[in-house]
Amino acid sequence: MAEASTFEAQLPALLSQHAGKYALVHGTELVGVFDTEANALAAGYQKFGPVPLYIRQVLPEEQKASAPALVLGILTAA
Amino acid sequence: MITVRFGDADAVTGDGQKVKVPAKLALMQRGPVIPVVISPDQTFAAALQAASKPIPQPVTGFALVDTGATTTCIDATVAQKMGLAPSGTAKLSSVSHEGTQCLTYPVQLFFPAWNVGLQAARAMGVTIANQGIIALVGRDLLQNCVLVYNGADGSFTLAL
Repeated sequence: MAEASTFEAQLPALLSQHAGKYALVHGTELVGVFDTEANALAAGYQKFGPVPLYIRQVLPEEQKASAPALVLGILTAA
Repeated sequence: MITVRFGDADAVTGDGQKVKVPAKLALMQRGPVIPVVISPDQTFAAALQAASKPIPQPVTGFALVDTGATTTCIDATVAQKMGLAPSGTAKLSSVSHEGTQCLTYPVQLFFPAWNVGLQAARAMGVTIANQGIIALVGRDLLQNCVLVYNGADGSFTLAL
């Protein structure tokens, strides 16, 4: 995914100035950094319309979610 | 506040006999499920409207209250049928798996029993419809709730 690569490439610089905030990436462009995920969503839809976006919190490592029922195979990750 | 108590349900055994399933067993088998309506996030709906595109119809089903899930999940097929646009990705971690990449969707979960809608900014798309549910209510939403699971009574109570 181009957006993920763009984010990873910019992560060191983002961490130095915007740790904890939310980065909005579209294609290979870092569109902006926002205080909340909701603000990033709103900005993305305003600029690009109702299209898929890539928003990620500026953290040293991507936060991982846990859903044991999925992991155990009772349910299945898509 | 929602209190759900499973009634003693009828079931049919392998040899065709009708038996009553105790409420506590029904809750154990079914889990704490509540009716839910999945709608697009309001911001996304507004963007669709501004672009003169149709707003997807809400999807109704059941949500499982899952204290084991950090993040709320929705069925990926439902998300695709609704034409929801992903807002990013997230990784599911476990002891046995380093991380399965999932798309995330901004959605609203409306609970008719409460008449309350909650925004889930990063609902993960997973395959759960085959379990008879369309959403898992994870701890990102439960952090604002009180949940009492009364297994002995076959009931649970969820309060905002």
